Amino acid sequence: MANPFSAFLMSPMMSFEGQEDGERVVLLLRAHLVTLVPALLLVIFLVFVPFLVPSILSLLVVDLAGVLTSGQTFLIGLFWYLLVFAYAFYKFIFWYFNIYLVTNERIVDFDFRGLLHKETSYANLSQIQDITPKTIGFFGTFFHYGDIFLQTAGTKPEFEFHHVPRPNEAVSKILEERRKEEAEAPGEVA
Amino acid sequence: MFFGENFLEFNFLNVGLLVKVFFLLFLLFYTIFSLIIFRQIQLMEKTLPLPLSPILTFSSILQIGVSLALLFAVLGAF
Repeated sequence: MANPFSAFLMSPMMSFEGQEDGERVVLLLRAHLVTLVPALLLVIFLVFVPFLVPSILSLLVVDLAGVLTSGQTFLIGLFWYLLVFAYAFYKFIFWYFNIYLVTNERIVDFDFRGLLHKETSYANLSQIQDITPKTIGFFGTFFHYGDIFLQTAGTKPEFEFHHVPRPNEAVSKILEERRKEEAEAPGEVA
Repeated sequence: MFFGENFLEFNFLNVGLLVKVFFLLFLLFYTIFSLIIFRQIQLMEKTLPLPLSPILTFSSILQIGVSLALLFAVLGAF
């Protein structure tokens, strides 16, 4: 069984909305897991903030118990952890659902850009004109992830795959699928 | 110090009211946020069924449940 957290998955057994007959997913990509580390560190820090607040307030000579009842203090603590959970959950689903698919026919970009912003873009493999993989920075080089820029002749001229693992390998796979697609007769799905 | 006592009482009531309004507004916005997240997950699951989608849907339902339970608890408690 494939790792559900995988950011680079060859030939995953999956389907998606709008999939054509005979179309199969050959590559699933999402941002490298390491891109979640800053959010994870922030969440760990936020979890410990309520333990630091009483000492900071005592330094500022603020008596919290004089202003709020114990029930209210408990509720404020609870709300804090609800917020921390909401932030962590949002970050995770944002990462999890931002997916780039390469099928034997096209590339599909599922963008989950914000709370109220969902976008899906498609481009046929035959429309791809230029592909540029880019690995920039210390973390990108160390953990081997980068961006892929695809120029297409379609309505959306540029596709960007951000922070995907093994960008060169992914580009090779896309080019291989494009070559196969170009060898097919027009309209053939194979 | 009659005026002083009344003033303190008024301040105490004000703080209590402010805290209640803050709690209610926070929970109201949190519930709306939870509902949007739940709906987004549902839509994404429909668009792209992924292995963790059922767990994420369940977590979002749990989040809605907790925020609603707290909303009613705060409404009833004060």
